[in-house]
Amino acid sequence: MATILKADNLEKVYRIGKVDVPALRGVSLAVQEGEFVAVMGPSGCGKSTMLHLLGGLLTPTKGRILIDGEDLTAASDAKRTDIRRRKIGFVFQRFNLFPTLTAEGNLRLAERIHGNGADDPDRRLEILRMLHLEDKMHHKPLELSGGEQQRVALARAVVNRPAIVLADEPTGNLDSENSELVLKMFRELNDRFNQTIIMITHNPEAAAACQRIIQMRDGHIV
Amino acid sequence: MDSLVVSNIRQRPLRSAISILGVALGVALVMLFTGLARGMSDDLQKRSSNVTAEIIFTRPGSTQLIASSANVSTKYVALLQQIEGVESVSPVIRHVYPSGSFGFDQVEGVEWDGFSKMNNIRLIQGHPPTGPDEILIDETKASRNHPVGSTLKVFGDKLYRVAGIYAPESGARVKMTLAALQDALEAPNKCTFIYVKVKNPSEQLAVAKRINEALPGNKIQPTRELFATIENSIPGLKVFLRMLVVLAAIVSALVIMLAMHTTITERTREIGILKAMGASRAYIIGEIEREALLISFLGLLVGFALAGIGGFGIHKATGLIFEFGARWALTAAAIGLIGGALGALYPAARAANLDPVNALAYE
Repeated sequence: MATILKADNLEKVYRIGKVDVPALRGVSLAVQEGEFVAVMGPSGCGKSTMLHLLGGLLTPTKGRILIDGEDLTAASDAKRTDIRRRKIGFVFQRFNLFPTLTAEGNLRLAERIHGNGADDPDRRLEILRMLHLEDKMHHKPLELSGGEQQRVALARAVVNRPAIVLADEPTGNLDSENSELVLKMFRELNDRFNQTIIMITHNPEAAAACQRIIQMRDGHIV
Repeated sequence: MDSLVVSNIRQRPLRSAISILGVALGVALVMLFTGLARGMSDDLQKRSSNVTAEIIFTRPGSTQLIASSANVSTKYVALLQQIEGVESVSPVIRHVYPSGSFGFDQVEGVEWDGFSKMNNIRLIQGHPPTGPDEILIDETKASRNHPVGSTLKVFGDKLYRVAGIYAPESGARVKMTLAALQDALEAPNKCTFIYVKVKNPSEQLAVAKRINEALPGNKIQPTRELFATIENSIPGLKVFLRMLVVLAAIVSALVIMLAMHTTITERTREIGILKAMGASRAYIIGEIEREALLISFLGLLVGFALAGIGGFGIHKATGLIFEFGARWALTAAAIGLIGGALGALYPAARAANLDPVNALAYE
């Protein structure tokens, strides 16, 4: 399988006032296409920072990131945004759906941002159906349960067929039943569509669903 | 994206309504003020164009927009009649007095038979004034609940009876006999100016020259110059209208800027989500501008409606004439839209430059 993500010796230092706070101290990893990877570690170990770097939301102090052959770190802000738009889908702990749009509307928004005149109602329906949300297409987030909202967020993340899905504690705000349902959806995406997923989690049961677990501590991979 | 723009506006109906009203206010102000200036100016022009006499014989300083004096002797009537090329003459005494509608109004004293014949004015109701307390009014004045037989105050406390209604509108809306107004103003044998109708309109300049040679030291001018546009009579009016347009644009821009700034602050996390989804700076700016333009467009429609209703209401209450023109409507539309777009630019640029991680963490 091809290497779809490669990070070399990533460092990230935050400047807070006059103090330098190192969040990542030289992290290297490679993820193959179709892998489902969990990243675990205690709070403050640099998991979220690493995820944000891999998603191009932050720039590293040192190091290099390649996403599907494209150098994220050497890119300008506009180019990084472009790579993120085409190659990456995000799923957040707090769902982060647009409250004024329906479930389908949130997916449609993702299509529009993706550009190229994309408007594929069949694709949206296929995704929503796969995530057992076809009856909730026209519901707004406030009309959905936590598990349903997270599944809509997952649908939004994959509607444009990204190379990688980056999930930041996707079950962190869900009860066990909904957590299991969402994790099942992640596994199904991975199994059926060979979707590459990197998931940050505190939950050992969630991590157990993955093919590989990366442990982090104090800004390092251990 | 359109649905996000529309749904964002609908999510905060009160704030959206206030923003729309802010834009509407600027648009309505422009429309009302320019409509009033244009309406009054066109009305004045219309009434002046119905005076067919080509020349006015007067004294310097005898007529202004808001003042006039009776300083021309009526002895000039006979002298003017003798000048070659003159067909007929008609003396007019004009009095400008304080009035509630617009601060001032006018009444003219005329010798009705000669005046009406010269200017092709006819009575459509009633009869010419026969006494010092009778007046004639035009149709516009009559339409404000002043039928033949009714009484109204013209100036001072004296009541005058409406003896007749004339058309078309010409000069002052209220006319009385020359003698009556001379009496009222204590100006016997005086008038403000004398209309001169020439036998051959193509020779009016030559006739004017003859009048000037025969009766030097007076003011001889074409009739059309007396009834100048409101803008020419009040030189500051054009400047005022331009300043008003600028102020309206600033008001619209500020309203939108404040509304968008508040919106963006409230939706910081949503902007972070858009950035995480790969929305470019241009895309984010475009979304905010589209929302601003939609609010501005709605403000435009409300502003036009307010101007129409306001103009109608003010006309009904005061008789002031509004004339809304396409040019000023387009100007008001441009003010609303451009003001809104410019007002949203700064908040939009700020939103586009937000740090996505901080924005996502915003509560």
